[in-house]
Amino acid sequence: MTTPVIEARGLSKSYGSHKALDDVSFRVESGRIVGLIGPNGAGKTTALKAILGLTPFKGELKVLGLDPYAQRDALMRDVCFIADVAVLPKWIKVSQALDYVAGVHPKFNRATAEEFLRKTDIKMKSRVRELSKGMVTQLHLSLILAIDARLLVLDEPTLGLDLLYRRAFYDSLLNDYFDKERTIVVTTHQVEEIENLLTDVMFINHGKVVLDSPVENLADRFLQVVTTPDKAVAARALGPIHEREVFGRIGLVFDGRSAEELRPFGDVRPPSLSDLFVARMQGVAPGARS
Amino acid sequence: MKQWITLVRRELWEHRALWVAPLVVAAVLIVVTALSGGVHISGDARVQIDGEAVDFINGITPERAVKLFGVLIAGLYVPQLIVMLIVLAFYLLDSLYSERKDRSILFWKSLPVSDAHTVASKALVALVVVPLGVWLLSVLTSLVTVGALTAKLAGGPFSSIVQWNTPVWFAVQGAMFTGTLVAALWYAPIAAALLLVSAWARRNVFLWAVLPPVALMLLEEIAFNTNRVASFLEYRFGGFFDAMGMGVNPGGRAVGVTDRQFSQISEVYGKLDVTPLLANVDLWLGVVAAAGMMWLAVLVRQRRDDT
Repeated sequence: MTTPVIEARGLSKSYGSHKALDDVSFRVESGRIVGLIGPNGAGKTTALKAILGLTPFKGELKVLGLDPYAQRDALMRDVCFIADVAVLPKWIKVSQALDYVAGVHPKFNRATAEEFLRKTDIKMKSRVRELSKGMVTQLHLSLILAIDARLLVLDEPTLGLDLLYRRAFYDSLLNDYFDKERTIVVTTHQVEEIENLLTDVMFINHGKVVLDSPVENLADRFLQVVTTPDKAVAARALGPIHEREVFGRIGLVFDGRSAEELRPFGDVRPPSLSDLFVARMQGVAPGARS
Repeated sequence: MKQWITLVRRELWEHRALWVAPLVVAAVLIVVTALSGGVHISGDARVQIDGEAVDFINGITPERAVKLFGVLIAGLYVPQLIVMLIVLAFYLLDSLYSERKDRSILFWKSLPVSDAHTVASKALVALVVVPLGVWLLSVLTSLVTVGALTAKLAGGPFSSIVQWNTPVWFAVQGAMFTGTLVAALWYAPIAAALLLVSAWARRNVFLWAVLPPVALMLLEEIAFNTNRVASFLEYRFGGFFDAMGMGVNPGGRAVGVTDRQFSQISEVYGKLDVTPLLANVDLWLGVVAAAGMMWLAVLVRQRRDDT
């Protein structure tokens, strides 16, 4: 097995008495697109900040073989990062942003960035404060896509963007950037949006990793059956991890049950990522087993 | 090298006052001298030179004219230096604070630039790049203004007073150049302290920079009835100008030049050499303190994100 891109063992981070990350261990292999998914305040952003060397932490964490906090500047030659759209400085001109990244980043290809920008309405002389939110994201993405990095970290990259920009963002990410040599870690709470592009999911809640799995294994492990209230009693005996009632029909999510076992109760299919997310975050609804 | 140039350019992009303010001062100086050629002094105008009241028009000997010329050229620096110190103080306080306020620190930190380089680039801009730029601008300003003035006054009643003198001109500019470099060393601890406050304070950087020393001074005054903190700060802030012979006269008026001030200024030209300050151990203790505070600023910046 090759060296993982990210390897965390016993990663912890507290803010006062609040444990943002509680003894978390995981690894991310090269060439994967990992979705780090969790509700607000679950520890996603803290995990990303630790990976990017923006915050000190307890435990062991290696990113591309480096200690991110102590070696952030060396690490950033091979890691790119987009937070939500507000982080490009408001005063900078588009041309200055290009000059700056070209001046400090050995792996930045200015011609590539300019080519991306030509496809947009962004003018070289504009300042960031004059651009719309969507354009700022396009600008940041143009800068990032022109860097020959090995790991791209995205924290809610499409927050506050309309559907067209969001779709275009992920399209260019997949078409222009991603290949087998590269790895992407993305957080979002709009699960549906990235569902189809992920190779791996990691659910995080209350500072703990509650699910860490390749997407292709999810369908083998998790199944959802939609049944009627009278059949649900027998189905509950098989130990669903989540239950929800919609229009008089009951959806049950199971972990580790076969399709054959569940078919007698109704339609069986793999749950969508968002259903699974809700199932994992909420667990069994109160009273469901009674 | 390419990275350092980029880091310096970035500072000048964000903080345009660093180069706009000196240009404005230079423009004002040029306009003022261009207009001032027609001024006539009426009545009995006397000037204090070497402790002697001298009639402004007839009493100026060629030897004194040389001194006056030196004073004039050195004096052209004063408005530039005052404006520069104010602009630099605000720049340093803002430099590691605004990036957290607008969250752009997440962008800067996503690039392969270490915290040490970031902090050092800001100190470099404040202590070397801007002062040398202002020096160069002052050299050009003095060429334009004094050159124009002497040309304009030539043949008139003031021609004996303002006479172009190339060796003096070069001596003053050279002394100002070395003065700029020595000043960078003398003021390094103040710059480093401002950088540290800028990196550390979560809000109200200006208050965090000003209130602690003021509070210390007051506490000392109340508790021990002494003024050690105050005199230490006065020495740190004013020591360089004292060494340069430009010490502020406490009784002097802000507008106009009193006789006493003029006599002080007239000594300036002879005292411009500040290289003896390099033999002062306080200067080097300050440099060590500056290095320590900058190292702390680097550690603080390393811990900082957008929160």
